[in-house]
Amino acid sequence: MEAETLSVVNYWLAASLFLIGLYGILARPHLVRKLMAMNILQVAVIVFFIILGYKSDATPPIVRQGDETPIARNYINPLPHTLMLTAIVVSVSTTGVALALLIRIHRRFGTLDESELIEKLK
Amino acid sequence: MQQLLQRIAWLPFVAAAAILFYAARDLPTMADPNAPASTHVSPRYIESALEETGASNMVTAVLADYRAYDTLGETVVILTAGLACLLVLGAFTPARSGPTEKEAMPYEFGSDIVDATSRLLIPFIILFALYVVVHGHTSPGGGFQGGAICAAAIILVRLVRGRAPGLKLLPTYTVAIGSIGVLVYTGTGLVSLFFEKNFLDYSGLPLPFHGGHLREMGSLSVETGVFITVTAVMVLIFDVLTMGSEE
Repeated sequence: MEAETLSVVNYWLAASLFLIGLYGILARPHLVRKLMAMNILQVAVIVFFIILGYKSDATPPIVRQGDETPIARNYINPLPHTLMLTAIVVSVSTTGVALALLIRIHRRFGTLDESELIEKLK
Repeated sequence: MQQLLQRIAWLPFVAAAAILFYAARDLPTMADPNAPASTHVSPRYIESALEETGASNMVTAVLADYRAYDTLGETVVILTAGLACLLVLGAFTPARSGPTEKEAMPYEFGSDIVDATSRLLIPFIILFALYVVVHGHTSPGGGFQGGAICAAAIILVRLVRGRAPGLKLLPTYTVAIGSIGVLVYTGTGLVSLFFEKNFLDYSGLPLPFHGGHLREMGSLSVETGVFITVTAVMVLIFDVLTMGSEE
């Protein structure tokens, strides 16, 4: 029971991060803040995957010296770590592309505020 | 319309919150070794990674060997992102291939202290990046991490000293270097194709090693490709974003 409550709390923390990001994307008018919110949302997904890969009483997924026959129980799951490793780098790249687009928008319209942008687009 | 949309933004927010917080109860208990995520393919990776791929770091084994196709895709994604930055900011047209005279040293903030400290640190940062790549099989590390560290060192030079005294790499060259990284990756895969094995099956490489050691060398070569691409694209994105506007 104790472990289950704890794990639900952990999932809730990841969900809260996700919701902070979602709220920022939906409700904030400034595009840079939307981008920052998108990054928070990505971090939430990464945290969620890392939670899934964890095992109690297990060590990081690097075979200890002298351990000839590694047993799956003794090492945490390497798969989420691998996937999130690439996800982090890809999120950096997407942030770069988004920033480039924002610079472009700012050069063209002189503002990054959503309502002002919509006014200027009319 | 706009204000209405902003006013009802909390509706999907609350709906998502309800779904996420409710669904958290159905997820497997945290740290449970028998959770679905840890039972299907993951034990296979953990138990045979060292023997099959020669890498005691299972993350590297999965990244560069078992799921090398996946990583090839990621590397291409990163290169594409760099290209997209370059194209979006219009830096790839011939008239705009490099920083102009005025922008040559736009953003440096070097004082004597920052300058002296960075001079001391940067060689070690780059050395550490190479260590992280080469030692990625037996300790935490690999191409992505090493590439990020190396790019951090180069960006540090640019922040402190401006673009001119740092490595004078124009974005067109950085893109070429990034493409070389992807070429190293695909080349490694193609070599094994020519020696009657599958694409990216490192056991076909013509190297004087056997078994796990041979596959370790193959994934090291692949990691080097990833390292080159990540370094080049990070520096490229930084350069393009800080290039300054012309319009």
